[in-house]
Amino acid sequence: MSKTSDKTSIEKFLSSLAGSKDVGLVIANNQIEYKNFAKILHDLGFHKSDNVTDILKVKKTYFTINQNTEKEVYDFVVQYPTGQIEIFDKKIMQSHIFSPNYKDSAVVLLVDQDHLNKLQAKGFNFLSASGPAYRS
Amino acid sequence: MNSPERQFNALTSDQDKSSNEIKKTTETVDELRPIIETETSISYLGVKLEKAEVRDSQFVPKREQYEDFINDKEVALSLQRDIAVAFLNGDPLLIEGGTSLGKTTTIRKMAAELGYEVYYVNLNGATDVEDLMGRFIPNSHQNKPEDPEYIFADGKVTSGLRQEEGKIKIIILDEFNSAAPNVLIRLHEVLDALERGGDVILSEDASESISVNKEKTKIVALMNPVGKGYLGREPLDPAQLRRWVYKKMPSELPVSTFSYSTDALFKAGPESQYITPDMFLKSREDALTLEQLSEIPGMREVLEKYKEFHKAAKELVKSRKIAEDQSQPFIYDDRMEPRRVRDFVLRFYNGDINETFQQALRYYYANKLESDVDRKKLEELIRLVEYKPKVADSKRRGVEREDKLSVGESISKHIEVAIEKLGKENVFGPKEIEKVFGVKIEDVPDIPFSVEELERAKNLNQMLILRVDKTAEGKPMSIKAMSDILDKKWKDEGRDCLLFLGEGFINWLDNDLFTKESPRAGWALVSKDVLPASLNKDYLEQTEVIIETLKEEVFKDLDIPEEYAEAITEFKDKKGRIVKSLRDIYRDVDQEFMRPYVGKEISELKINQLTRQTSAEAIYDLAVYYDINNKRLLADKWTWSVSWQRPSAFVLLGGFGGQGIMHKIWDPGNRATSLGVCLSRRL
Repeated sequence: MSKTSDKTSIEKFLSSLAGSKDVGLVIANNQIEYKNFAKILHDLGFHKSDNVTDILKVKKTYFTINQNTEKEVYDFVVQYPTGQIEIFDKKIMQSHIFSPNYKDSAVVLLVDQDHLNKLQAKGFNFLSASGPAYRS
Repeated sequence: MNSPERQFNALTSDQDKSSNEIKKTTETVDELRPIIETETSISYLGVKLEKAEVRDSQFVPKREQYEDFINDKEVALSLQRDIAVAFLNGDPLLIEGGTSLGKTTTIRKMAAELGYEVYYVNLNGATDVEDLMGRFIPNSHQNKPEDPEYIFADGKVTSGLRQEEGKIKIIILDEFNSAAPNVLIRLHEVLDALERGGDVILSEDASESISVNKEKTKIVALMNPVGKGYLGREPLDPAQLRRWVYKKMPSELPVSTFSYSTDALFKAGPESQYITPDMFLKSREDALTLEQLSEIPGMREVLEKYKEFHKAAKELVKSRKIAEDQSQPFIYDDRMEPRRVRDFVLRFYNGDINETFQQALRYYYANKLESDVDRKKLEELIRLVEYKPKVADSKRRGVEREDKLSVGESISKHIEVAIEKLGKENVFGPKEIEKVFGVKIEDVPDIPFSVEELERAKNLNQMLILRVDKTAEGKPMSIKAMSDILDKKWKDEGRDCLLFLGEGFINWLDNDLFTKESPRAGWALVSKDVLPASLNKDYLEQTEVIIETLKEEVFKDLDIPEEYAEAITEFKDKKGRIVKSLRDIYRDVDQEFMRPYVGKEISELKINQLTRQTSAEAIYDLAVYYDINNKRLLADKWTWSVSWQRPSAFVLLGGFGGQGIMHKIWDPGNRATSLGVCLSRRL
């Protein structure tokens, strides 16, 4: 499969996420593909979020996850379809409440297969918690 | 004086009652709406929850998020009803089911409608006790030296437990079976405090205690099934599970729900599903008191049967005859379940102790089971938890007492009175029954009808007949048994057989109706012909004719006996729902599965039980009259009996010609010019 066709198919996938009530999951087979996908996301206007509380600040956003990802990301993904998200900041012991605006929004998790396996083994079932998934 | 049962139904004065009854009929359609919202409350399938007084809070989900929520009946609506019951009773609810069922979304959607705050905790992974119960953190507002360096900050659970004026809070404990053991232990202390209505001591704060109130804080735990692709989940200890009202849901959406929801999302199907009446509960405005509970007729009998049921249900679980495939073990707790069932009855008693009790058992026992097969097994036991009023307990006074015949006079004297009023050809007592069936009756029961009633019976073209339920050999006096006895007897006498086609009768009739159903023993007044006004009417229309006849002829200018008054009220209450159910069955092939339920409900209506013959009784009555008088009744007409067989067809009998009595099995919506109903009453 050529890079061009890959890009086309992931573009289609990402464009289909607009307005979705679920978080999309993009799974890279290796680190090269991971970097390639990150670039495509960036080129398509997805803003990379470093913090869960930033995720809903822009319409199109993506979040990279790995085996060390904080639990709050999982909490976010699980709650995203439920109409309300409560993220608890343990340091200041306060909740942040969000109401996702699904219209035209798109939230994507980017992960490579190895890290996804490790997360699943820890009980963080991102495959079940997320909605549409893409892998090349 | 009203019976306690009647008093409970009559929450308003008698004067208000008639206007309420009128209102009730106009509300029938409304009552079948699954969710009814008013300014201050919402009813989920009849379970009414009050909205919070203070709803303006960031913790209250926004309603617009749930505009496209699909209220399918199988999962979403029944889940909302069960959540509403738990909220109303103050029970902590534990729901187990697959991720695709929308458990969290459903609770948040209800919270949005009710204005309840939601405190969500996901117990998967790194969640410790202090995250839930609170911890000391650096005081970011420390301005003066005397200000504390550290302050105690609530955790999510303590925030949900604190009572605030006008607010109602829901604590959601998601992925409950992924929680660390110490977290579970601490949460169970919270549950115990809520149950007691006491305080939660914050050991984390070393001093504070929080006063908790289950009216103000609702706790729902959610979990995915152990195994089945869900990693990191451990089965909970069944002993811990007893604190929760445990509801087992499917691991994935049932096929029909998936299909309906998908069609609804694409606007490709009907906007709403028909909600069957049996899905509704009806919460009371005011819960009964324990004193009122003990006064409910039949309570003691139902209670005894409940104890037997509980024991049997426990045994089924223990022996793995039910819930065999469920990965989460559970028990039916000896202390918790009876208390919950009692509280349910207090809140949901609807005037029918059998129905209310059985609903409670479905909620607290059957809901723990996943498979339909298991639920059916338990349902068989649930149906046995019922109170059957004994005919002998009737408050009706018999002929000798009401008409001042001397106490010592024998039954034969009473029969003479009956013969005097009705004519010899219309009274069939022990002598006649012995002649027809060869059954010698040792203890002849009293005739339960007054002279006045017998006189009216004459005008109504009725006969008085003593029915027996056993043959001379002590076997059930079934249709088959009658056929066996009379075919032989009549053949010797040069007469024809009892049944058209003889044994061929069974070809259309349910085997149990043919071989097991026997007449209800005792005296009965039976119309020798169908009620003229009942011809060409469907089954329920016929029942209306019966009621009209009772009011205008049988009991005209007399007090309607209590049993009949209750039966008529019940019919009025249920008729609207039944008619709608039948209409939906005829219109929508998907509603076919409802047929047995509707058929059973029609058959079990007290008015039909009191005033219609069973199929065995109809044949018995026709046979006795023919045997004694050598005249065939219903030669060119048919009477519709109360006997039904699956799916929802009722047995009609008649066409009693030279070849015997004929029968048909008809849907209750049918009509025919020769089909009516014979009035038959035992009280």
